[in-house]
Amino acid sequence: MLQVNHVTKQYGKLIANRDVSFQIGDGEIAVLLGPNGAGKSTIIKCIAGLLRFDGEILIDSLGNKTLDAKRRLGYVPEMPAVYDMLTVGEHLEFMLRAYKMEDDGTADRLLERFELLDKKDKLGKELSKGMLQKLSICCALVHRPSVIIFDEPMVGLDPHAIKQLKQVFLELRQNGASVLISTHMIDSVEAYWDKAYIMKDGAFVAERSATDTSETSLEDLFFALTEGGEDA
Amino acid sequence: MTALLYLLAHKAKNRIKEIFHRPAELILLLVGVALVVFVIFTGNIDADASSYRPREELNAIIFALFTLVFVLTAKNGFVNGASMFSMADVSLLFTGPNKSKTLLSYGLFSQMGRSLMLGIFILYQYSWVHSLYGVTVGGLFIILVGYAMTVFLAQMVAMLIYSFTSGSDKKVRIIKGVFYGIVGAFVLYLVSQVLRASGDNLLTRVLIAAASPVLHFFPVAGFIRLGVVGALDGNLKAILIGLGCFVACLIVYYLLVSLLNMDYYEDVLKATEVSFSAITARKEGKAQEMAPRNVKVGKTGLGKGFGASAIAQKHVVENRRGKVLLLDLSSVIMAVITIAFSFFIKDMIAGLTMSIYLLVMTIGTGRWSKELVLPYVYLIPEPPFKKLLYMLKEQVPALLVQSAVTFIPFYFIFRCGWPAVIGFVLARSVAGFLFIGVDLLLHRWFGVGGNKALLIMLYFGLCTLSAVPGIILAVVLYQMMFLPLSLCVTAMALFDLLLALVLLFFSRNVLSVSEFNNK
Repeated sequence: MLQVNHVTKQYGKLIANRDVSFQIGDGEIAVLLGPNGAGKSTIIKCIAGLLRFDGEILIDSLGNKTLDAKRRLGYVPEMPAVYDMLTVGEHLEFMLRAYKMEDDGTADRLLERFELLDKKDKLGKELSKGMLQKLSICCALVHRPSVIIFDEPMVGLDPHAIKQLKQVFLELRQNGASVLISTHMIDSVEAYWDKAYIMKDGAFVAERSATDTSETSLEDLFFALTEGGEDA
Repeated sequence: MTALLYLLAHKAKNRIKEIFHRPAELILLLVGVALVVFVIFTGNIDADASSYRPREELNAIIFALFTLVFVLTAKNGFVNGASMFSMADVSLLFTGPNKSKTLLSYGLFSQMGRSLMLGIFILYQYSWVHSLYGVTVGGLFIILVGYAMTVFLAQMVAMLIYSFTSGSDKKVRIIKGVFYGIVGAFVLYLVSQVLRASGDNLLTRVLIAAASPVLHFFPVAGFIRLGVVGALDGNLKAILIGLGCFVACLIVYYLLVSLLNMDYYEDVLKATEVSFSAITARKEGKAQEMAPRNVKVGKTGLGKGFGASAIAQKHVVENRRGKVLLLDLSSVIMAVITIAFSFFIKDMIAGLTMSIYLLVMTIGTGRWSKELVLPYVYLIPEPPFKKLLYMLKEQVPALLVQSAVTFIPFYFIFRCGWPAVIGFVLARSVAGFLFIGVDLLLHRWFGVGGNKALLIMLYFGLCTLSAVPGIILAVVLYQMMFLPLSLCVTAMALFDLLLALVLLFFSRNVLSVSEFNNK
């Protein structure tokens, strides 16, 4: 479970996140929507423990800066970041070693799924942007985290990888993981979100649950709330 | 042209406004300036002019610096070329209705400013150039301008080399032959002059050879040195020749590109893209890898490491692939400079100081610094200090080996004894960790973001401040208390070790959270 309680993140005078609170239960998928500059990536980096913030973030009831919490977290950054001098296979080996886990075949299964198995011995610097994104996703999943955050995960992926990733989302939900997906592509997540949060100017302007019986679609709601606003 | 002037003016205006809108940047700028003032103020001890070392030595150092910068920059033309444009220039100006000649002028003007900024580190050298050679603040600015002119012309040469050779291996071979042929001819000439010169010792002979008028004909570095030395000595004729050659180079370059109607857009594109991807990668938190073009993968798999130690093992694999040996080319160059400097100055502690100075510039290029701009090291569920230690592990053997190569020759040159050599090796190696501590502390304070130029300025200033007490301690123990040299430098090493540990202690949580941000 992921709990974000009253998180505020400030850069000097600029408030990037203002008193943000939400929670994602086990086996739930939440989507984070918002125009550019709304503060989505900032809250994601706060959850990943990369930024300082005021407030509280709990991963399976543990403070997100604790080692136990970090062990349970997977993070796919907005821009894929890999090591130029490590091969694809070595990236996953490194993650497993760093997280003190034995390889039970998950690494190869992930690589196969994202069509990277034949690229296992390719160096990070030789990968295309789409492959980098796939590898970044594999790195975030290989240690079997219980809370996974995806920051714009579809960008640069080919149709096969998008299909696989959607399948991964569903499997993660099935296995009881808490999944947070930040995206601009509303239609790409329309089918399987449990909760949706719309962000603007650093704060949530709307929350919706999949069980709500509103007649307005998520996309319409998004545009109604964000159009006319200033893209930062 | 109006649009370009508008662009230049607004870029400059907004840059200044930005500094005032970001208090942290303003403070950094003020601290950086204050450090320059501090270095100038504290180094401004008026010595008796008769105690200064021969001016020919300074002239030779200036020539060596300019030559090194010229050769290392210009040779990039065989790989990526050089670009005076940004990616935004390529996307917005190259595709717009702008004359290529006008854009070239705009690019040259922008590049001049950047070249000047690259030489800021020279201002921090005031202390020793003033005390040894009596160089004034004005004189140091003249050297800075000369450095900027050298960088500027070297980049133009790199761009020309790329333009003439791109796409043809044959042309690359020919121009490479010409380039290194010219460099080799001058080196041979210099060596022959050293052998022929009359003088009591090697230093005198090298100085006589380095002052030879023939070296004024060495491309760029030769005539810029002539102008700079002329300006320092108040020799109007030399200044005019130096400046005249600089302007002539600009005119020739401009004529080559415009009269020959060279389509330089494509030629600068690759270098611009390389530079843009480097900048973007830094912004995006992607590590910068100075990887060889063709990497031999070799044995795959980490094989070792569990938890934080996996970071160190990963470095072993990466260094093997990146051909990052314990002793790389820059370390060898630094060792040669240190040995030559110590030999000429005939002062081992001055040599140690020089090697530590040079270390300030290169210590930040280690793999540990690349680790800081990727998210993984922050995410790994291990205690931050443990991760920090494993992240820095690769530096221990590297610093020891580099220092050993630098100082073992001291035993043969100065007959100083092995204990002193060991002391020097320890002092330099520990200084490396001192500077890593400074860099980490800056990361701790300012995170991954922040203004790079100002951070570099602050880094140089703080490194100087942190290294000075240890050096003063060694000098006092050696020259005033007459303790054995080995003891003095070991005391310095111990003092710096203590300071480095304090800095690492303050940075111990840098891998817990470092305001890691792509903005």
